[in-house]
Amino acid sequence: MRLEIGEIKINDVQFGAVTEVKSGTLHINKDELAKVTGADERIKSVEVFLARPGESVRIIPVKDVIEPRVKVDCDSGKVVKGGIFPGFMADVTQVGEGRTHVLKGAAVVTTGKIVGFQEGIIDMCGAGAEYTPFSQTQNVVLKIEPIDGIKQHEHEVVVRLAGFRAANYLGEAGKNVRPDTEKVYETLPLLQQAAQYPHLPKVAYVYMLQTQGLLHNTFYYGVDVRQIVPTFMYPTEIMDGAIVSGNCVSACDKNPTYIHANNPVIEDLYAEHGKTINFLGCVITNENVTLADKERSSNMTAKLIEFLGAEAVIISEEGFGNPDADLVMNCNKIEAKGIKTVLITDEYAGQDGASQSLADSTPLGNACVTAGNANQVITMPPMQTVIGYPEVAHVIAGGWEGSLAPDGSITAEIQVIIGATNELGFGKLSAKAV
Amino acid sequence: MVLLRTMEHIQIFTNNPAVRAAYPDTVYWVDGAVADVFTAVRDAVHTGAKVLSHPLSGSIKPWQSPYKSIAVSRSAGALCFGSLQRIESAIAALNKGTQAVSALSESVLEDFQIIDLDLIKNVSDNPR
Repeated sequence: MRLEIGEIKINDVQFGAVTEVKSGTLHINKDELAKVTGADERIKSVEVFLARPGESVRIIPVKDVIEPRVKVDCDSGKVVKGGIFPGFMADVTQVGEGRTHVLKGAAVVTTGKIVGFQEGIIDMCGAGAEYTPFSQTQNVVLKIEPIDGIKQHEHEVVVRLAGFRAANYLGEAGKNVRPDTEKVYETLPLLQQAAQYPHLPKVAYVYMLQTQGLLHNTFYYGVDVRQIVPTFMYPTEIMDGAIVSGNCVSACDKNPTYIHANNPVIEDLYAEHGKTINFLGCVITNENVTLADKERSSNMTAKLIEFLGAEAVIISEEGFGNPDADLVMNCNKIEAKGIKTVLITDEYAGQDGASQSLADSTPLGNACVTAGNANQVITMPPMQTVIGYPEVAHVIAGGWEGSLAPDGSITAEIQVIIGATNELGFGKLSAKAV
Repeated sequence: MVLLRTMEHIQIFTNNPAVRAAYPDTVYWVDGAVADVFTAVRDAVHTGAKVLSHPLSGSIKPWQSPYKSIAVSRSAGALCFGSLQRIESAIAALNKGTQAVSALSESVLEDFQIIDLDLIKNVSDNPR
């Protein structure tokens, strides 16, 4: 499967009469975007805001971040079917091949008060901005208010789909723009892929997805990943939005849809593909609540990895606590087959960093990369503008009584910041053994 | 012998009123905090019950949510060390949250109840 990615560099966002990309600026017809985003009878109102790097702006609570993308015909004239976010915004056509344009540097950020306790902060400047990758993107923020009486499950669906509509609408603006950067990613069918670089070690990626229930969901081609057994995925599929996030809890270590599409593990494995390793592809698996589900999924993950002929795997986790058990089961069962594992996680080691980091452990997890300690405490200065629902800062999950000071500053653990300890390595933190 | 478990063989330890209302015949009611639910499950494990759902279910940290529901097997047997290890490490995780969480309104409490109920539905949807 071969995918061309054309990156159109976006350096600024502005409101304008026509939605278009000109000289690196994304101009947006505000009313048209609001209309497209609000095209759901369950939505009462949509407000559109812009938040740029360095501005004194706080966005809270953030539900999802999405990168605008669009499928286009290949330069060769080859037409490939399918659209971004298959199963939601497009038919469930196979994606991951052909050509895709990306508005690189732009992001859709959705905010909506789905439940009463809230988290998920993006500060565009100050100390908090250092911890989130989305302080560096040109953000188009959508405040989405549903009709009265809507229940939590449906509310999450409404906000999720509204974000995808907005991202696809903006993505269309890149359809006929010549990209600044061209990239090509290719993974061959397994036997051909194994034969392409016979002398390089064969490496696969175990991509664990949060799937426990309400506000903890992830979807693959529209299906709730809780309901699947582990399966093989061509890495390029994610670049067309095959995996999307419905995960709205644990801001620091959830994977927003933006980060799925830009998974840095896959990016780095492709960078070494054909040089130091032979990257075979991904196995996606779930993180469920019952221990029987965990046993079944980890058994099947290990079986698939063995079947692929991998000699080593990278395993990334999403979340904390319960998923630590899945991480350890995947590690143990894959290592038991004589296949090396490297784990990526984050830590909840207490505010002083001295406590046990994970809720589960294994001696076989002897190669582990951390994305930082989510209990680390930070004070974020007040912002001139707060987009979203500033009042929810009173009950921040990850804060405590008194977290919100009268002057508007927030003192809390970095777990309240979007992407602060992202377990795909999209953030800026790590640690090393001393 | 294939193990076919039904809800009759499962007990849900909970302090969540929404779970009690949804599963009146299955619930072991704990009138207390999350720590008391963990302690009750630990005691049951010492008498041979097995933990069937992960005690740290959900990405809401155990010290942040006032509710917790955990499914265990009703049948008594030999001590399951895996279950004991899991509930003990959950108790350790709970104790990491040392800061007092803000007082919660009725609607926020209801939201916490709905999410905890949704997580434990994983057990009733497909008991095994």
